[in-house]
Amino acid sequence: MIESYSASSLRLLQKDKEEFKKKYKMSLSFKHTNEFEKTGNVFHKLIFYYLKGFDVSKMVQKLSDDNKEVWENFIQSGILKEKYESVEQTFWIKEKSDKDFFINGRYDAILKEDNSYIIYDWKSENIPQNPEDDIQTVVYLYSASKLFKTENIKIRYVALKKLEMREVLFDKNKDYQKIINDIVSNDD
Amino acid sequence: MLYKGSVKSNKTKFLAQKYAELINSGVNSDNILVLCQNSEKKKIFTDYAKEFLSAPCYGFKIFSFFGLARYFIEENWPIIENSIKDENAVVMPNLGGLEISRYIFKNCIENVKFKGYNSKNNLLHQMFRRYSLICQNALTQEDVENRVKILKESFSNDAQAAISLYRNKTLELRSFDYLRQSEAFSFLYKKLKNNFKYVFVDDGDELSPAATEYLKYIKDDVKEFYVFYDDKGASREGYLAAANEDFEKLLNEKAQKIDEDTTLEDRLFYSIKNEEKFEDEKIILKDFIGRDAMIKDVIDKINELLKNGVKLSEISIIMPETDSIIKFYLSKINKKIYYLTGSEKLSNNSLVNCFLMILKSINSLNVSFSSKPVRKIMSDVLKIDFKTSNTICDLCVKNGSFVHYDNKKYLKFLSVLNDIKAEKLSNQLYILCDKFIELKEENQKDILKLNELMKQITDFEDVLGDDTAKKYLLEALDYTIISENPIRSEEIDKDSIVAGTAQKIIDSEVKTKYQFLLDGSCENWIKQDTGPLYNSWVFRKKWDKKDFTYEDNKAFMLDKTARILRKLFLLNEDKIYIYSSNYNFRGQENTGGISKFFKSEQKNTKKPKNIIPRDDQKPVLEYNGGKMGVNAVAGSGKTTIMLALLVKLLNQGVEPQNIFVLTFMDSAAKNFKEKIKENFPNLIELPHISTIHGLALRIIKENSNYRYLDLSENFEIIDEVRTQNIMSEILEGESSRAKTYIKAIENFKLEEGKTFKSLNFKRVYEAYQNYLKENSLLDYNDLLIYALKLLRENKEIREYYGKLARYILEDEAQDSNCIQQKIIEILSKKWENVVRVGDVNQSIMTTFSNSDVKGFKNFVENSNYVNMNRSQRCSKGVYTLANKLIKYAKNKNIDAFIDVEMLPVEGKNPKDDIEVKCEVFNEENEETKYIISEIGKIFTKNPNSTAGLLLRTNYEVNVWADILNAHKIKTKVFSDNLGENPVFKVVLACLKFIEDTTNENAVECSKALFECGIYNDFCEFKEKVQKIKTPFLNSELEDFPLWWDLREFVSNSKKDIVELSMMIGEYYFSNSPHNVNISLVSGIVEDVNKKEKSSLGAVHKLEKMKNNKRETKKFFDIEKNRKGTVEIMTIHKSKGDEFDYVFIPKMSKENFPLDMNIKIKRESDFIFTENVKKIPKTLFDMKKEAAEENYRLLYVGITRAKKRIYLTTSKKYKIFHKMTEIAPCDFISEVLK
Repeated sequence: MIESYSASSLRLLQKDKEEFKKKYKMSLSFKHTNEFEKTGNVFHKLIFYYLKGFDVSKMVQKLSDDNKEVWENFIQSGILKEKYESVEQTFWIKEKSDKDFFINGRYDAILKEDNSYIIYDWKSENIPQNPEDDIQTVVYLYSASKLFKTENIKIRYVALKKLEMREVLFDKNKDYQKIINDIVSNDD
Repeated sequence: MLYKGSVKSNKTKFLAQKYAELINSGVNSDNILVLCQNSEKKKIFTDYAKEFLSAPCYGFKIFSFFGLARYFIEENWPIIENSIKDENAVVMPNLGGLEISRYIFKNCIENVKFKGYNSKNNLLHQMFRRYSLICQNALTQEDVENRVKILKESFSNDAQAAISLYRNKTLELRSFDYLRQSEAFSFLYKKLKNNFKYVFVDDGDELSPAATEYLKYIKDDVKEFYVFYDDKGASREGYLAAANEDFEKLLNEKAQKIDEDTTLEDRLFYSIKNEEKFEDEKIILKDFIGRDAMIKDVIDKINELLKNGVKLSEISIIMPETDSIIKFYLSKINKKIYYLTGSEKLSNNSLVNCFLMILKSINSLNVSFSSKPVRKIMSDVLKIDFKTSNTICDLCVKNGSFVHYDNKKYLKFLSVLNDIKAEKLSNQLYILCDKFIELKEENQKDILKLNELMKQITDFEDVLGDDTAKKYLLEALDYTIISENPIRSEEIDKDSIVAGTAQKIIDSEVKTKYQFLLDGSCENWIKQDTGPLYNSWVFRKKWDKKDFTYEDNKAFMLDKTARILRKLFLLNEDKIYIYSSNYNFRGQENTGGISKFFKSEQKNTKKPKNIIPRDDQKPVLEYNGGKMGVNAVAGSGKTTIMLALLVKLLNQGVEPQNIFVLTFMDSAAKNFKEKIKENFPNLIELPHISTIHGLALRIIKENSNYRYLDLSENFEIIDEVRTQNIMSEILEGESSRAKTYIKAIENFKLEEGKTFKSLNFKRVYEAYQNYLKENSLLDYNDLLIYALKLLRENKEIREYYGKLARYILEDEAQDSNCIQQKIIEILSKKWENVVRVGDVNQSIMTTFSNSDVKGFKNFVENSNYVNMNRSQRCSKGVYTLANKLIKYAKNKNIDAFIDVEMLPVEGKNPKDDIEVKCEVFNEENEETKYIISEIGKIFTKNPNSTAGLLLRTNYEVNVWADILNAHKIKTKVFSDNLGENPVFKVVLACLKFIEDTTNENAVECSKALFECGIYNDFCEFKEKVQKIKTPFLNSELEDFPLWWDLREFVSNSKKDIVELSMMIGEYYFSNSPHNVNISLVSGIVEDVNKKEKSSLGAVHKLEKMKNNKRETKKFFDIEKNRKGTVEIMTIHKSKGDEFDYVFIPKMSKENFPLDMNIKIKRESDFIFTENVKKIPKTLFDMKKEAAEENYRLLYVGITRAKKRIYLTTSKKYKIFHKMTEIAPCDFISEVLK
């Protein structure tokens, strides 16, 4: 059976091998979503439906006042573009090091601008501290380059509540593949 | 591209490879749909695909059908949300919670009245099935209405109302279970553009119509289909709604056949469909009498295979259902067995149970503080040591709540409880789990279950709010069953034996070298797919007939059985063992199942014992046909010669199914079966051997004959206890007359009464029969009259059995009743071969039952009469005495006997120095002393002797048992009473202690074990325990083996109550003759436990049953190891038995009235029942018959003795505390001459 890794599982594997094993290999975790995670999920879904062209006004009406405000502000902010290439796009990239493995994940939205692809990632609270080095950036930029067969890739992190945006470009000098392989080789 | 092939081929890999090729060549994987049968197969497909993929790809659109439905809803939810016309709106609906949908469905059903619905079939279950069939078959409203007309349903309007209500409610609450999702899917895909250009289908034969309708809809838009199907597959036909679609027609192309060899399995398929017997060297049949023996052989065989190097993963076990008892037995293989989950209670997991209890107590709900769950919390959750756990447990139980105690872990626990009181339920559970359960590999299974519990709670909170969750859910979760959830998949342990039901094994595609099919004759192998509110066949999408007949049902069941067994055998790579047993754990006979579709060569490797008959036995063995009556005196070898006759017939080539043997008792039937098995070990099918009730049941059940009686298929047979209870309720005030009415009803039925002579009786009779009819119940008498009715009124049935019953052998013919005679008459009309064996002189059941001794007497005297008059049982003195009794009766003009003189068998009869002892004493205690001293002499002279003390009434049995026990004489009292069975007594006492570890309960255990002769230290134990201050388990009672036993049992509290029952039973009784009843007792525990909320409730119920003197159970006869013991029983019970020495005390005129001065007890009752009969007997007749029967009773008593008979009496007896003079029985004076 070929293993697959997501950005989150790689992050945990990088940080603590034993914890990674427990959570991802042996299902030793208690499944519980806290309020923050729940809100994050709601926003992701709402944006998804909105971008697909569905009428979400009824759903927005029923959000809490705080969330309604966040939503309105977000929509007015101009961050959202007119047309996206795809929304909630899953990817599976096969890699080979000492063994075969997959990296997989889901881009919240893909925008095509001229010849470059821009990955959008919605964050309900905070953008990662050093996005250039964050493992999610590594995985997403690398996978997109494979999928779209170009190095004209950018990733834009968008903080929904704070209306902040940080952009990271694909770095031709970075050996993304090696970074990922190094982490994966830790998993025996 | 269409391919035909079975599970034997590598179809999944083949398809996955093609899938990967497409993607590697540049096709966008988002445009390729893959439909797999279930989540496990989805994983397998995905894993293969991943191997062959090389190019980067988008998402994998690989789904099971329900997964696809869910995906569509998640992607397109706003369409549905915007179509719901109400104030509410959610961004994410609740998809998946079975518990919550059950709750909603239940409420909808309760809202609709369903007037007149028979409560026997669980309404929720029926409705759920109906709804499932409608969804899976994508039936429109019109479709349903058509089917309602075809089935002539009476509750269709109510059902429709409930389902409509359910649909609306789920929309309103935004909560959809998998079936509701499939309906939403049907709505959605018609509104959306199809994105799938390529469609892969694996196991196409198992797709439901809902799935194939979708495929048909998008067909024209799809560039290419890749479908693999098995044209003889569709094992999920019926309730699981496999459509068995004609793909060649659908795709308009011819299927390519994959290269594989399925000749054997295909042959089996057609064999079953044609109701023939299938034979092949690959299949080995094994049949046993008892289920215990069956399982033991399975275990031996598996161990043998393992020893020869077979791996665990190469063996699978397939059963119609898994019960705790079989799990217990299988655990003796001592290797890992992985049970594929079916329906199981969430609260069966002990940790879940603990947490539920904690949650209930924090949220101030009713919770019982009994030792078992509290101790579990201490030891399993908090990991406190045994001793401290006991102390804390004791304190908490006494107080009924969690009280303060100075222990670090415990105090932490209390503080956590306090902190989380205000939280919502899911948070409470999460915090408890987080704080007290370590995330370790060994806790994996428990963590899984706790996560399931968490999900149930979260679903509820999301949909119905936190408060409802707290109020309702905690109660409901006691009963929650995680069943048939198609979304769930499981990780099968690769290094273990896999066990499960046939459908589960097929669905998980478990391929093994060796398959063990158990309980082959259990009817649960082939479950009916119809019920009062659903019919899986008519509700199929493609139903086009105008009606649904019995023949249709039979054909469908055969077809489905053929498909399931074929697919099952396709998963086998070497040998298949089919095991069956005659009796199940309840002691009931198995009828049905799949064994009947197979046969194996019945090579008789063993030579049956050659019996050289005596001259008086010869005519029986020379029987070649016709009517023969055999009068066999006591001890003449009746059973042996009957068996010899059976063996002769079988050896002559008579097919077993053409021989019918009728016995008086179930134990005799079982005995015959075992003896035949001994002589013919390879015989799989036995002759029909049963009581008349067993035969009647067969006639009613076989071929669904009950449909002619206007009976529902799940009728239930009630025993005497249940009849008593029903009667007591009907009679309200006059329940003391219950017995009389019951007798009267029996007489009325067995005499085929038509008119009522008493209005009172009519009222009671009709009330009773109505109750039975409304609840689909039959009592034992109904069995007989219904069977007779079927034979009389239905030519087909009559001819079927008439043709089958080539030879009929009847045992104990003197005790058979009129209905039995009539049934035999009808059955024997064609071949006219009837052998009736009995002893007129031993007919002692006439006053109890409706036995027709005169009928047998006539038969004997008017047919080919064989007189087996030689007996080798009794010594000369004894048989001479018996003959004397007969002559005495004749001289007194009492027509009690037929004139048969018992003769000896040369050189065989026992001898003793004094063979008859007859004494008359002045006082009662002289008689008692005499008997005791004689017993002492007997056992001193020969400790291996057997002795019987035969009495007139059950009451006296207990009195004498006490007397003899007080004199330290070993006794055995036989009774059918549940509470007196040693295994039951001990198991119940121990289970009670495990639930509540009080000192009193410990003492009760000691008492039970003492009474069964296992431990002798009861008095010392009781004394010591009553003095201790600390909890029992912590006290220093190491000197007592029981203390260690109980500690061991308690530490095993993780096991469920049935396993514990087996464990305790085996621990004490596995080496005793009582071991045959261990699983029977556990079966009782299992049945009770299923109906109760908790194990504590089950123990209480069992306690009630134990104390009910009328609660009886047909226990298996234990092997008689009675040397040096005095067996005490009534003369009635002693029939068929024999002892070296027999005592018949209290032979007074009152106890054994042999003349017309008999007092008929409760005369008015007797007369009442006689008045109900067709031709009532006069009081004179009744007295005459009673006197005659007493003679025969005495005859039976005397002929139990092998060496010596003691007849004693005294001139004075204490009656109601008053010394009364009683004359000795008339016969005594004759003996003393």
